[in-house]
Amino acid sequence: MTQDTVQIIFVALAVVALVAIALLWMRKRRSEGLKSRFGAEYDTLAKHTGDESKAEALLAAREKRVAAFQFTPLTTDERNRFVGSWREVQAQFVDDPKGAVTRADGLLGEVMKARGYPVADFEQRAADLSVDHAEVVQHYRTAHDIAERHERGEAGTEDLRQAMIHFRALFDDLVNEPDPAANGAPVKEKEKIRE
Amino acid sequence: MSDTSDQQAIERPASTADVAAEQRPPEQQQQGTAEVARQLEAGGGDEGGTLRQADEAPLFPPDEAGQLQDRWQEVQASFVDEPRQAVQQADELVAGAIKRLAQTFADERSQLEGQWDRGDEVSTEDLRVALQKYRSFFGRLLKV
Repeated sequence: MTQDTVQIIFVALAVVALVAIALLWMRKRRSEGLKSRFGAEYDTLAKHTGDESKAEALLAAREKRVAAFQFTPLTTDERNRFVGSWREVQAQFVDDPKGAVTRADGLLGEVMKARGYPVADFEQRAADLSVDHAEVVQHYRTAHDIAERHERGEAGTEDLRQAMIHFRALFDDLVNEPDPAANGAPVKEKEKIRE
Repeated sequence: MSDTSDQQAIERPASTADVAAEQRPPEQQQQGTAEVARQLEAGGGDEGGTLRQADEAPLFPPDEAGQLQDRWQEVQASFVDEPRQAVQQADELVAGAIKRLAQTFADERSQLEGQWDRGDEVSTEDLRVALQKYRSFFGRLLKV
């Protein structure tokens, strides 16, 4: 072998090594980015699929899907209407706990639709929400789980009450989300539903 | 039955009278009341109109009833957050309403008393009118 060939081989190896390191580094960064963005959602998904890289692929796909959505902030009228409706539904809990939980779920769906989320089944909605609302989406999942358990006769009034509170956490988040047009400034009166 | 009647109570305070009327069992004592009620319905003579008016006067003035209603709505909505506290507050609301009712009736009664219990100078005509007013008041009391 000539010296030139050896040099070329070394350079090629070095380039390959550098590229490999760069790819690994980028992969690690993406991994960390997804972990920090999705939080608990990342962990549950990783546990569910049993494979971190598969989970990451799913989350990346979610990000891509949600990036294509046309989000619109709620108008003040819409917001007031939703908040008023929520108050009514919450009061209705006393007379019909299961009905109130169902209506709360429906109201959440309306808010999501008004914000720009496409209509979809629960799993897809939870997945879509997890991209921008990673913390509260856990509340959404928990509430939905309680509702399902109630269908099977495995949840009582206290559980349904907890479901209302979980749904409300997501509701508050969606309804009070800062208007991107206002440069991330929070909605002027962050009106808490709880009095 | 209790669910629907509670709902009615929430919407129209005066309807506690209806609820009480439904739940009142027929007793010997009540026959007198039935007669009174019949007389009030029939409306004897000229006083019929005014007596009926006094009889149907709401137990709480409208703005007070409205405030109580609003307060109730708050309590009911707060159940999801603090169930026990909500029930506590409901109890206090009801107790307060009962106290207020008792006060209203006590005031009316003492007003009536003042109209005839003035010594020996009261005319028979005044006494007749006084008794009619008591009858009307009595009718209202029995409807609660």
